[in-house]
Amino acid sequence: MCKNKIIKNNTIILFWIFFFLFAFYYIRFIIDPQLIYNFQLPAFLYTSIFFKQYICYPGGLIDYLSNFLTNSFYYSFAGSFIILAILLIIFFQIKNIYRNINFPSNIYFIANLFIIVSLLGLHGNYAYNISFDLQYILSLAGIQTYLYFKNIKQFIKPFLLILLWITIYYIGSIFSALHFELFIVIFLAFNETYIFRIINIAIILIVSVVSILFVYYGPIMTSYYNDLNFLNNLFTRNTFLNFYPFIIYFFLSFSILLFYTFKKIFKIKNNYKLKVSFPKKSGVIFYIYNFLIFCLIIFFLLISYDKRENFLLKIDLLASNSKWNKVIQLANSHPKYLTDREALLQINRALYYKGIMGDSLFNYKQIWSVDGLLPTHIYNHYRCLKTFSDICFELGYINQSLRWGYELIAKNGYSVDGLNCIIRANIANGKYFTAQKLIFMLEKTVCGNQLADFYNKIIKNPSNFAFTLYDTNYRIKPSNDFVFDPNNVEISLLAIFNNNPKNRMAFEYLITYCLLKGDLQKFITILPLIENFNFSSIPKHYQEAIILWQYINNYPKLELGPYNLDPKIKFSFEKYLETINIYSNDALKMNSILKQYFSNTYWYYYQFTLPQYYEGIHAMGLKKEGTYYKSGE
Amino acid sequence: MLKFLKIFFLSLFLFSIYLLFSCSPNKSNITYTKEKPLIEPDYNEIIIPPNICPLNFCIKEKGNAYFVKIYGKKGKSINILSHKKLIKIPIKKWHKILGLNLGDTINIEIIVKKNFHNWVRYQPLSIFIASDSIDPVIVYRKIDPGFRFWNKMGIFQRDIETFNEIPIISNQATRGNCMNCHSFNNHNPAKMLFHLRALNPGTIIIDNDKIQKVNLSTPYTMSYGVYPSWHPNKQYIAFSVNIIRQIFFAQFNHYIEVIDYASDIVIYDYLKNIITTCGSLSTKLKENLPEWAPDGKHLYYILGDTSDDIKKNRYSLMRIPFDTNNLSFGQPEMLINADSVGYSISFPKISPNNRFIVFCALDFGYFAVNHRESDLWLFDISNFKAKPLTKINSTESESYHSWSSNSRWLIFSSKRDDGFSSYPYICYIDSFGNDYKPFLLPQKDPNYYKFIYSSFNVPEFVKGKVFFSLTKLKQIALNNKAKSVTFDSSVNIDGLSGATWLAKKKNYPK
Repeated sequence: MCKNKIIKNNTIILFWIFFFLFAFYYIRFIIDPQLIYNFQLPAFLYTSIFFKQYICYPGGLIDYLSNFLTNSFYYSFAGSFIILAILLIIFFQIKNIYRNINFPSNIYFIANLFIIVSLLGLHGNYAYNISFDLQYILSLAGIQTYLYFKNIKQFIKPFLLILLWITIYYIGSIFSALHFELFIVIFLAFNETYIFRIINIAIILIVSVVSILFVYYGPIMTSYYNDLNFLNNLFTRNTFLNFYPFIIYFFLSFSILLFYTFKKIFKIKNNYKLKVSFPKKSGVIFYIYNFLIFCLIIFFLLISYDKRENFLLKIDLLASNSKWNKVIQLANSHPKYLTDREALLQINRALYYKGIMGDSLFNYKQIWSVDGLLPTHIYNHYRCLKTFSDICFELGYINQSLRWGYELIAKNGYSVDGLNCIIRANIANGKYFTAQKLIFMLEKTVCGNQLADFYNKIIKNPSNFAFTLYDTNYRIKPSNDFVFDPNNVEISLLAIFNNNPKNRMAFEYLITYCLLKGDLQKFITILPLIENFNFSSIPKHYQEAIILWQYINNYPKLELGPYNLDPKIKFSFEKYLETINIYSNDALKMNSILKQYFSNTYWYYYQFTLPQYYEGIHAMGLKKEGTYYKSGE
Repeated sequence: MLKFLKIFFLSLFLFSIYLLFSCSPNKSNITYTKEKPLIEPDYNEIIIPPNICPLNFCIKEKGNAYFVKIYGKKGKSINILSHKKLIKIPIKKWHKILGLNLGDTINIEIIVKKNFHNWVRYQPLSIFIASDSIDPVIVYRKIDPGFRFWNKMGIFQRDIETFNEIPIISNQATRGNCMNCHSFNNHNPAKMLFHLRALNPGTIIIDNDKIQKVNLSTPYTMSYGVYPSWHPNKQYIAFSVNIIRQIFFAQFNHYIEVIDYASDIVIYDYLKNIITTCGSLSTKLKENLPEWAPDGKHLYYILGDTSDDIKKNRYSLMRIPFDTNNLSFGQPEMLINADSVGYSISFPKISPNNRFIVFCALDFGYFAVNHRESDLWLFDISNFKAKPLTKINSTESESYHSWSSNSRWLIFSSKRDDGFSSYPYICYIDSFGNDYKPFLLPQKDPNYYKFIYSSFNVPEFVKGKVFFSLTKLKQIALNNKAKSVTFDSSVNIDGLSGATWLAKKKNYPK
């Protein structure tokens, strides 16, 4: 018996050790806190003005702390430790509460496991904000405090309740307070004498209603947050907060309710400890049992995180760090996620930087056509704002980069990325005094110090400027003025290129834009400029476009200077035409065969993908993307 | 033991006395300099109203401790000893010293402790207290500097005598939509309007307890009402109707421009719920930014041509007589011809004494806030002469401005601090139209403007607190469908070339 108990205890301890080790691995290497940071871009400044915004409404302090901690996610390891620490705190709190009310240990093992695993799973959704974890911790702390003082004199208890409720409401908002209140009401209903039960429950209900009304008609109505309704926008403060997290958060209270009801029905005495045993025939079975639970948890967690979002955020992160090879590798390994505009923008950018844009562009299905290359008139993809700013900056179109930086900051607040976009554009424009203010703000962020130092060095010593990207972009920025027309981006690209004929990126983006738009005539007009850029041969897709143009226009003569067309590509085109002829009566089959053999050619894009784009495929994409669209555009 | 304790406490007491005296300047440890200390915001040699809140500031001189003495000819001085550079002036003492020294100068003397014993005394800064008070409330919209996107924004009222800032309404209350163009009738807080855009659009018009939401778009006008102006004593509100677009330039100085493809002016009768116009205000040219004269007998506005070259598109200053009895307009009169003066005119604002017009002068267009070269000019209605307000203007954009109800104070937006956010500046204008050095709207924390990038749009003086039922306003803004307005059937539609012309010919780029 004793041996069994030792085995059981050790196995459970071992189980939790393995579980939390796995949790760390899962958070660090699968979810990756830096991706959470990149998704949420939380605003945070170490200033009293910023702090004061958060003290004027209930739940503000938790929001402030949560923003600070989420900023630390910029450093993956720090973020992993923070999330793990949060889970550990919740784990010990729940364990303590269950013990305190004599809950059967074998059941609370499962209940605790359910809550912790579910919370870990919630972090797999990048929209999930840790403020909910913190609110949960706060309400659990309130419950623990109450249970700790449960034996104090009856007349003190109401005051304790009032104090706890108001503190929790102010620091953690209505969610924490309701969670605390629900638990306490259940606990009181089963543990106090009739008269004290009524008094205490009535007091906590009155206090909660009075506090909410007081706060609503007091500070909230006169604060910036005068939107808050009686329940402090419980459901709309975070759009992610839906029914599922509520089940998890309120699981504790419901389990207690069930437990007390069970005890009441079966008239079990208060001091009786209900025992539900694990299988205890032998230690081996117990190990296997725990091992199976562990495997089940791993399986659940691995299938539960948002893989598509994970991919998109990784692509974005790699592109931000100019790891172009890895961008392409990642894209090649997850072709099914390449339907997102953000992904295509970054992949096309990576192809340019690796010098293979003209050869490999159509290896990736360009369903977004020109919108997957540049910011166009379709601009309401708010998650692409930083990429828009980056691309425009690299093209030397500093003012557009500045514009998208402003849009990003208007949307996301004081994020490091937003500040960075505006600072670099102002430096490239020579407007140092604007940049300086923003650098000053950057210094007050959690993770922008290094960047701020870098910019300060540039501003203090302009000779440093010559060795940076900013100088390059300064030199290629337009010297003549023109208007950016989002409906005719090629005009703007042409203007950038004409301003500086050495701007290779402008040339490649311009010619690719013509290809993606299907404007072969303009493509042919621009093509001779290729001689300025030392191409060893005409890139594959350009050759495909030339052949197509010749075919459409009855093979006119075209002067290609030092370049020749590759006979293999000519032969391939003949095969393409031949396939069309053979299956001219069966469009479906023709499409499937062409897709199989020619999907990476410009011809296939021109014949199939482009018409789909024009017919509204992109509109469907927009709708799909609309999940990320927020009001404010 | 007792003796030891006595000695200990006596020593402690003496040491405290020593510390106290060593931490404050006295004649023996002060050196003098002829320089004036640098403070931020710059409040030296400004004119302030007697009812302004304390001018808290940050000392830009290096030191270990700071002693600030604020004194005038009358009353007790305010002494502040601080180890921080931020100087926060006690509000009651401040108002007392201002009240006693009305029409006179107060001085701010700053003494900085450079090392353990050495204090440096700078030349005192002087501030003149005007006898003309200022309207107690300023209303502005706070918004982050985006172009197509936004997040939080709100229309706020700021008590100028204290530091209290309260939202009149924020877009958090209206599901994140856009709100703009707030306007008051004669600085009256009980008569206000503003537009809601995007979700639940409409114009909210508040007349005392009556709050209504109207849709000012009709089949005969090209848009909703845009830039408003209340008639001072009748139920009319002049609105411009505009087809507005944003365009982006490649070069730095004008990287964004807000342009109108077309615009007209219409008059809305909010009691009868009718919109009307006349041929002179709805031509093929671009009538914009209406502004009623304080006596209601003239409507001022700007008039632009329809040149295809954006950078040659300039606006002239116009006015047209208005007969309030039969709601009719006379012949328009050009006050300043943009082509002859070589600049474009925008946001004409008439002083409540009907003497001066302050307007923005810019190279082209009318959206002054995006023009770095935009400066404020003053037009004297009595002699038709215009002059730049040189003490007000800076190298960055000066844009929206508003007069106080006694015509002595002007509040305007300026981007001089960082080049991208517009902050409210206040300046004194004397009875001859002379301008004086402006000062930044004081904040409790002098570093406030360093850590925000929100712009303060459309600062307007109001005579008192805006006070109406927020719950009712929220309900109307969110749930009520905007009431449709009717277009005046007595207007000869075919005779108009502006609004109705566009209703038939919608060929403007979207």
